[in-house]
Parts: sequence; structure tokens; C-alpha cells
Amino acid sequence: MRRFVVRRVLLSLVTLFIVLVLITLIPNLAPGDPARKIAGGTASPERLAAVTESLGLNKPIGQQLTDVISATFRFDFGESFTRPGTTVTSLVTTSLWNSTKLVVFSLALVLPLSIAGGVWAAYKRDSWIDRLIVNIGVALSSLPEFVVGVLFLVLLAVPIEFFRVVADPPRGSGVFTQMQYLLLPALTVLTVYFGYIARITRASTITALDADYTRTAFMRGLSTGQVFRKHVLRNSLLPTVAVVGTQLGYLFGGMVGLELIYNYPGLGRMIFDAVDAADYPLLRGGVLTVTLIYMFATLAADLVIAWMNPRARLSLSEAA
Amino acid sequence: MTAAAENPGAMDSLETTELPVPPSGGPPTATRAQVRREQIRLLVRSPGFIIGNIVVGFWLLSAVWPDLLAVWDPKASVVTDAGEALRRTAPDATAWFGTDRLGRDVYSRVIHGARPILIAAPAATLIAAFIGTLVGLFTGYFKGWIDEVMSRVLEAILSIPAILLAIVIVFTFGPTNPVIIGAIAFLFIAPIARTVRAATLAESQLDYVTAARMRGEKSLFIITREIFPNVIGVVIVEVTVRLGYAIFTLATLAFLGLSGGDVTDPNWGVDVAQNYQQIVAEVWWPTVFPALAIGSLVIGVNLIADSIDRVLSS
Repeated sequence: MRRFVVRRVLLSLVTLFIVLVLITLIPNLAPGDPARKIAGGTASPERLAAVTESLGLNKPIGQQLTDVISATFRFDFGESFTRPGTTVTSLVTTSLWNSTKLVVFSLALVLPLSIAGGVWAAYKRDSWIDRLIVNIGVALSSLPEFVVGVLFLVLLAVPIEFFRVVADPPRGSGVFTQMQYLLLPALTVLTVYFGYIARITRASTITALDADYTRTAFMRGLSTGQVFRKHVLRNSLLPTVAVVGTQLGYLFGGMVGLELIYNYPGLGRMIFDAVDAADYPLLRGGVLTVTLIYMFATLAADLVIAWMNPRARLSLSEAA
Repeated sequence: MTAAAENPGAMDSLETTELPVPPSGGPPTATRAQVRREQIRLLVRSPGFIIGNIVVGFWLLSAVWPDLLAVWDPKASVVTDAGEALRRTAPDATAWFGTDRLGRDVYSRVIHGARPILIAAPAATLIAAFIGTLVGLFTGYFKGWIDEVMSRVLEAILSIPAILLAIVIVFTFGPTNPVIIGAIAFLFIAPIARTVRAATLAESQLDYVTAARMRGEKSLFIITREIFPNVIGVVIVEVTVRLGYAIFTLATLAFLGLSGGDVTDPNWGVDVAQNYQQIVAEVWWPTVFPALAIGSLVIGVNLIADSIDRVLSS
């Protein structure tokens, strides 16, 4: 187990290093002078020099990379270009907190429903309910969230007053008001993810149901509920854990369209605005945050799987 | 519907061109051809494949020949016989999907909007499929340090949500069609290469590859003539799945204002972005129809991908 953990963590660090190289290269690859883009066409040479200096673009690329690495470990990317006087860290923290609320609330809907759906489909294999759940999954996964989002606006938010057209609640709202505002975006995430996660749970549950240990458990006279709790779910939920781990980075940073539709100040939108304004410090801080979330989530998922299933340790360290 | 009928045919010819596989072994070739024929027979009968092809076929027809389906100019205001311009009118007999805030016919814009996405998405997917398959085959077969390095780079790319990387790339190099197609192709190389690599790795351990090596075949021959025919199913499934994601990414980029064309060009994602704020004023039609167009195309492609996957894995 220890060898597996060490190897897995080292591999994560290598991945992180490559991402750091990528985000260092971004402003250097932009055609034209990024400093002029930020400072504006009429900026004085002094101002241009100051912006170039703060971007670090006048330094050799190796120096820029060590600066980015050091900034990463201190988690200090300096001040935002678009909002002078505000640090990148504070902007990222605010957006991260907003995204966390949305992701946690969404997953609280998605996980129980889609796992139950997947297990049910597996239990009633080849029945109409199984086909329905599988086909919903095929149809709805990889629909863009903004498409589902606008349809919910039209079908739910406009005719029914309870649903809100914006997801950002007024300042100082209580938990339930906040949940009411977040309900439509969370339902959008549910729509897009339900079938995907249900399908994965279904497939692994079927594998577990067909396994010898399950047949033995039934033959020992255990009730269906006991067999599921003690034998089937323990094994069948592993792939689900892994998939949720790989999707967390996307849930935090990839739902730009959804956050725009519902006017929600999450991480995805923050990064989009930063790119739009060529705010490179904010862009670097945001992309790095999303990468770290992905890395920790996949790492945690792999460790949970390795801990629950010793056999997986071997295959994971092969695959990783 | 004609296009829908054509499409399974297109699939047929694609499969048959793959058929003349290894000239070396007589009986195995015949078996493989039989298996292929049986798979195609199952495929064209599966409901998901038929529905998917009808939907995608309709959009292909719109992309190839929009004037057949739509009469109004997608960029000009609709003017009635009485000479008055229609603005924000609800769907009716003149403008089936209503008119938008500039008086343009939403139906015509939806029909004409199929072309840009149905050019860019397959183009990006095919580029990614070609490079990704090559990378996957070679790293999976040769392994070694190049494979290690490549796997780390692919993992790094996959650790950032594709849409964010696409936004960064398109902003950095400017929102033109070649940049957008190139960005999506670049991003999809990673997942395709990873899938093909895994399949190649599994195939390389089989006896027929060892046998070919012992016969003294060159690596290039083993990869292209021995392994590739056996992983082509994986490649086809991966490419159709990626096509769905390419449509997803293109539509999202367009929604965010990153499309290759002019803002007045009919484009589903752009049209949703420009009109969704009127939903609260109950002007839903300029948003909902292009959104449904995106949704139906993605669902159609997904249904095709899923039925191919099911037939190949059965």
C-alpha cells in the first residue's frame, strides 16, 4: 500500500509540473505584445514596461517557470490586472467557495439518485426500467449544460415562481434560500450526470451480481438487502467513486456556460472573465486551482479504491 | 428522410473498405468478414442507430442543402406581403419558429446553423483521431520512456477541463475557424491516444503479435497490419463519442462568443447567447429552437456511438 501511495503521489507531482509549464507558456505564446493588450493601445512606454515587468515577460522562460512554481507553493499570484488592489488569492477564494456550494449541492442530488438508479437498473436487468435508465444516460450525457440550463429557464423558472432565474442569492440569505436559488443549476447538473453515473454503477453492479461470491451469499440464505449491502455495493461502487473523482475538476472549473446562464460567480466564470480581459495572474491562479482540485480528487479516489480493494492497487499502479 | 436512408449505406461502405485485411491468413479473414457482416446487420437494425441516423441525417441535409428546407434569408428581416417587418413574433405559419429581435426568421437560422458546426466538429475529430490513433498505437506498442513521458503529458492535458483549455487557446490565438478546429483537435488527441494505447497494450500481449515478431516482421508492419485491424473497433467507437464532445465544445465556445464567423452568421451557440436574456420577458423561441438543435444533434451522435459500441462489444 505504501509503495502504491508514494508512486501515485509522485506521478501527480509530475502532472502538476507539466501543467505549471503550460500556464507559464500561455502569455508567451500569445501573438503580439500581451502587455499592450492589457495596458491598452495608448499606454505610455513606462506603463507598458511596468506591465511587462509584472507579467515577468522580460525574463527568460526558465526564470518565469521558477517564479510560477514559487508562486504556486506560496499560493500567491499577486494582484489581479483587472481589479487592481485585489489579490488573485482573494478572488479565487471567493469563486471557489461559490463553486463549492454549487458542486456540493449538485452532488447531493446526483449521487444518491444516480447510484440508486444504476443499482435498480442492474437489479431489474433487461426490464423496461433498465432500458429507460440506460437510454436516458445515452441521450443526455454530453449535452452542453447551457442547453439544459436555458430549457429549464423556459420550462421551470419563468412559469413557476419558486424557481429562480439567477443562482446568486441576495447577500445574507439563509441556507434554504441559497438552496432555492441553486436548485435549477443543480437540476441541470443532475440531468447531465444522472445517466452517466447510473450507467457506470449499473455495469459494475451487474458484474458484482454475476460474481461467485454473490451467488454464494444468496445460497447461504442471506436476504437480498443483506447481499446488496455486504457483497454487491462494496464492489460495485468503486468505479463510481473513480468516475466522480475524475469529474470534480470539470464540475468546479468547466461549467462556464451554466454559470453564465444563471449568472453565478463560480470558478469557471472567473477564469473565463480572466481570459477575456487577458488578466494572466488571475488566469494562472484559477487554472491552477482547478488542476489541483482534479489532482486531489483523482488521487483521493484512487486511494479510496486501493484501500477498499487490494487487487486494484496492482492494476492502478500499472495504469498510472 | 432520404439522407437518413443514405447514412447506414455510408456506414456499410466504410466497413467494407476495411475488409481486405491481412492477406496472409486465409480462413481467419473469412471469419472476420463474416463477423463484420453480422455486426453491420445487427447495427442497422438497432433502434438507437436508426433514430440517431434520422436525426443526424436531417442536420446533414440542412448543412448540405439548407435552401431546400428554409425559404427565408437567415440574415435578413422577414417582411410580410403587406410590407411590414416582423420582430419578436411568436411561432406562426409565416415564421414557423418565430422571429428574433432583429426580425430574422428563427427557423431559417436554425437550418442554416447546421453547416458551421457540421464542418468544424468532424474536421476537428478526424484530425484528433488520426494523430491520437498514431500516438496510441506507437506508445502502446513500444512502451519505454517515450510512452512514460507521453502518458504524463496527456494526463496533464486531461487534468484541466477541456472547455477551459479550449477557451484559453482560442483567446490566445484569436477566434478564427482554423484556431477553433485546431484547439479541439489538440484537446481530443489526449483521450483518443489514451484509449487506443490501452487497447494496443492489451493486443500486444496476445500470441499473434508474438508470432509475428518471431516471424521477423518489422514493427511498422505489426502495428499497422496486425494490431491496427484489431483495435479499429475501439477507434470507431472513440471517434463517434468524441464527435459528440466536439459538437458540445464547439457549441459551448460559440455560446461564450468564440465562433469563427461573424456574429450575424447563423450559429446555434451564438444565437442562444444573444437571445437567452429575453427568456424572462417570455420571448423563448429565439433561444429554445437553436438550443434544441444542439441538443438533438448531440443526442443523435450519442445514440449512433452507443449502438456501434454495443454491437462491437457483443
